[in-house]
Amino acid sequence: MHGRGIKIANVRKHFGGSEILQGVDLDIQPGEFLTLLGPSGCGKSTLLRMIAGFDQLSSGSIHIGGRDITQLPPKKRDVAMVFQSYALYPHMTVARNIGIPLEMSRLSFRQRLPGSRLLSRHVRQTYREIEQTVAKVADQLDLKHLLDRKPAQLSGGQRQRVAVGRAIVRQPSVFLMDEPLSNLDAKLRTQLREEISDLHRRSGITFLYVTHDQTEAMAMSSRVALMQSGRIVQCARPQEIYNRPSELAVARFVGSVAINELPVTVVNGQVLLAQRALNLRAPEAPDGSYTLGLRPESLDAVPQGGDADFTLPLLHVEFSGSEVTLRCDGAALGIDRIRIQMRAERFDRLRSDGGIDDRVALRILAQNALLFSSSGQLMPAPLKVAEAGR
Amino acid sequence: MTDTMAVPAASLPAVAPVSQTDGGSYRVHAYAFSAPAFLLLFATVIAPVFVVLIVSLTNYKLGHASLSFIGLGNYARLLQDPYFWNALKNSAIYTSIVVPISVGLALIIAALLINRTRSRRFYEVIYFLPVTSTLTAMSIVWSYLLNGNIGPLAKLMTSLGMKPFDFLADGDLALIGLAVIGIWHLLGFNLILFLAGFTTIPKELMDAAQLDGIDSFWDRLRYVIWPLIAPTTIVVVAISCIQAFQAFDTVAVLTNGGPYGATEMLLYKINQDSFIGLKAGYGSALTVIYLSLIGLFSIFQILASNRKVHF
Repeated sequence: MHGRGIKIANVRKHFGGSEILQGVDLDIQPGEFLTLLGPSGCGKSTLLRMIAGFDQLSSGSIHIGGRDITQLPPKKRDVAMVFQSYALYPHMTVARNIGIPLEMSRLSFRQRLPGSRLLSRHVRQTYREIEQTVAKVADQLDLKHLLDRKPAQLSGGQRQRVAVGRAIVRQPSVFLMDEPLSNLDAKLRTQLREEISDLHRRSGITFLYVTHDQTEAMAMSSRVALMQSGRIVQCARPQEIYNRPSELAVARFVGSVAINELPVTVVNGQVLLAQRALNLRAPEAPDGSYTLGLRPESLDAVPQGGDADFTLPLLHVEFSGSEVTLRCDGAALGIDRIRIQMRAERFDRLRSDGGIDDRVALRILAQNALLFSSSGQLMPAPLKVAEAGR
Repeated sequence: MTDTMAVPAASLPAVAPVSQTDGGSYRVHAYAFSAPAFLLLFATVIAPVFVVLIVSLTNYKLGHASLSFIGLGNYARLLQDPYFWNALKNSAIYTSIVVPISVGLALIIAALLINRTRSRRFYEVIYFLPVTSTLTAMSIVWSYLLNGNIGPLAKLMTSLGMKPFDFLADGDLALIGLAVIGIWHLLGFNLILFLAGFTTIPKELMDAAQLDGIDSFWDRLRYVIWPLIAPTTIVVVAISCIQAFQAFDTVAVLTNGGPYGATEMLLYKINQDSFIGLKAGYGSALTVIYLSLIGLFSIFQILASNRKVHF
């Protein structure tokens, strides 16, 4: 088994009057784990279904391993897919569910008729080979003791594994997954996330994974393609998507705690918030109004009365194990809330030496701050700490 | 301690009668509300069945003032009656032609229609039209279509150099002729039931089947559609059996059971014996046999559809 690259060129899809995909270009490397991430209705599932061959393209082309597959039927595309509902055949045993793709590709309609096993040695031999392959796959996926069960007798996680088994048994070069974990509970989801990552590493197949869950996307992918209303907004490594989102919409979608958005103005390279100068410079940004995007960890709590950028009333403290999330009232800055995240031990220290009481003094960490134009585009030049006093 | 014991002991008898009267009035209300439905059902369905059962044990003739109980005499006569066995045989043959063809054809047409998007509505209407038509009136049209002298079918066969069939006049073909009309009448109804059954097959499963190589029409039917609509199929088969056993309109309008009893079926014989021959007692015995056969189909349907069946 080895993966092949996928080249998606200017793919469009109209449905009725609306354009679901507005010219998507994507180049997926062989063996890559690429995730299509986006809110529901952004077109990511449609794109996946077109790669699988279930839906026709309105225009554009799709190549897999250099071969144009735009017009080929699904079974000839050398792709396998795991569905959100798993889509197992309810009337077939686990063994048959996994083996059916082989049965269909290796035997003709006549050879698959009941009784042909008795008549032909070749058919018997083929069925025996299929059985062996199924046993091997079942062994890999820890399904060996379940081969005689029907899907209704399995748990969600087991069904998911059967669906994966049915997909890998054909040794495809591209593996498509449509929200395969969304029907499972949180703990199982984390476990199966690791199993899927392992499977990807072991098999070397190209994975194309669709999800609306940004945590999943960040955790598993070599690259993430973020989609919004029918187009790919940014396609990059997870770290880059998180740290340098190309648009405000991307920044909003990624990150488990929402990004803080402050309305600022820039005058002569100096960043002003509510008429007050911040400890930040945007040397290449023309004068005008902007949105300053600050991740919850890009704000640092400092001792009060020091060189803080602003001091805000503390509303709520939320513990989540090693991290603490603070919510502050942002009315003084012209926004509703400001969220800050820090390590739990740092929070404890600040609290005990009086750095945090019912007010928190905050300082912006310039290297992680993001400046977006009024149309939501990221300003390419990084922000700097203002050197001279303000 | 004694105080706390005394409190529940004292309050218990006070509470109990209240809950009893509550339960009692609830029960009275429940019966009162269900009484109209029960009375209607009793008067129109259950009582007539008992009347038929009782009459079947008598020698009652319609119009006569007296009757006497003859025990199982009617049933004994029925077993000796070659015309009864002929009617039962004809009903069985008719059913065994109409049911497999109308069910199988409906399944195949439904499987062809599920992938149509725009034209599906059109076909649904076309196939359902016969169900909405009056069979008695349409029988006249069919008698023209199948007529051996002036019918278009006969003309077509003559022009092809074949000897034309005269469906309804030929003793060997008449039952088949009626079966053709029966299939035509039942097909649309079965088709609609199957199309409704198809909506229970998840779309993702059909997609997965395509990817697994189950993409030709017959493979799809064999591996996905047919097994998954097994519960629907059982209902359709049972309903079709009942419908086929009830064949009456076409017999009464087109053949009157002829030629020479070739198309005399159970319901028609019941009608003939009870209302033409006026032998109400004997007719009732036939009706009891007829009702128990229909009952068997219904019981089979209920038993089968209570389990979740996959072939």
